[in-house]
Amino acid sequence: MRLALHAEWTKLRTQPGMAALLIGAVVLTVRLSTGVAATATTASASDPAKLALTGVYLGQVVVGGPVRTGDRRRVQHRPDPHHPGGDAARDA
Amino acid sequence: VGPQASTGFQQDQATGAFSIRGSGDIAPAVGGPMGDGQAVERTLVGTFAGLVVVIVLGTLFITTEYRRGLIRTTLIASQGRGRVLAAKAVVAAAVAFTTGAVAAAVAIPLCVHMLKANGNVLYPVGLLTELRLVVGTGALLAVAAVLALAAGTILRRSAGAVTIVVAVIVLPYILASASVLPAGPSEWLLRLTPAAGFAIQQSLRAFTQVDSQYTPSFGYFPLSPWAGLAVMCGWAALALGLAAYLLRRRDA
Repeated sequence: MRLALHAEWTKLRTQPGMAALLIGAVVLTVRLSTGVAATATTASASDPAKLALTGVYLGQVVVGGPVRTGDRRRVQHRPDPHHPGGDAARDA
Repeated sequence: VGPQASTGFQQDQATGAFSIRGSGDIAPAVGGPMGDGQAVERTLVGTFAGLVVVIVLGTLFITTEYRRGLIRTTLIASQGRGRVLAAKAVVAAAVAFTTGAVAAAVAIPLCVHMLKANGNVLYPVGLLTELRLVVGTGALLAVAAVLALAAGTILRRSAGAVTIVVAVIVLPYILASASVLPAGPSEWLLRLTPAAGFAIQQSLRAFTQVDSQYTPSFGYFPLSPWAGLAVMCGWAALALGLAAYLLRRRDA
């Protein structure tokens, strides 16, 4: 088990951009919280749900980022024999 | 106060003296429609951002191995497929816990300071509760990472797994807390779905002698903090068990 743990830890640690991603996650969380806290006044306290939702929009942007990056590494532009025009022709 | 007492501002005709009458409760301040304070967990709204990053990380931790075929090397090099998954779960959980706890430990004092500087009143919380919010936010992210890892193992697709995990954790929470659903169904969502884990961030207290609306839309969860987290852990354990079973059964 120790070997497996060491292996997985090494994989995660040596992944490029991993430290940046985690520091980014901390910064983003704190920034979002402070942003909401800065706008919160006693008057707006009656609508916590609306404030709570603010995080989701930002979250959706974050989801989009890494997933796109992961996909792009995989995609290799291979000419498609059935659609020599490429992606554009297939999409049309 | 007698039955004939009326509230308001009155002047006695005979003496010309002014008198003011009123009524009120002497009771702890609680959240709800009448509450005019801020709960400390409001400073943890940003958890959503960290949560999503951690879910993506947990999923990619296994799905990238499937994408690039590294999973075959991993499984050959290690003894026991369950052990690989367990090791991944431990590493992902540890990284996510640290991220969440650090973020909460920074966000809470900073935001409390900002809220107070803006003239907001905060419901008082003890040091232990504050500690629970910090540790709980880390634990929330750790369990979410394990759930994401399990979903990634089951589906072997990043996009699908991330979508599903975000949907089962974030969506019920929004439906319940944003007044989309009535209080009854909202409470059931926060009892049964993984979103129950957000209860760990509740610092507001309910008092039986104070009449208020103790509902999710006002920040009151149906389960106690640790019970809510336990529900989320149950889902993660279930998903991890299924993932381990499928990992052993399937070809890599």
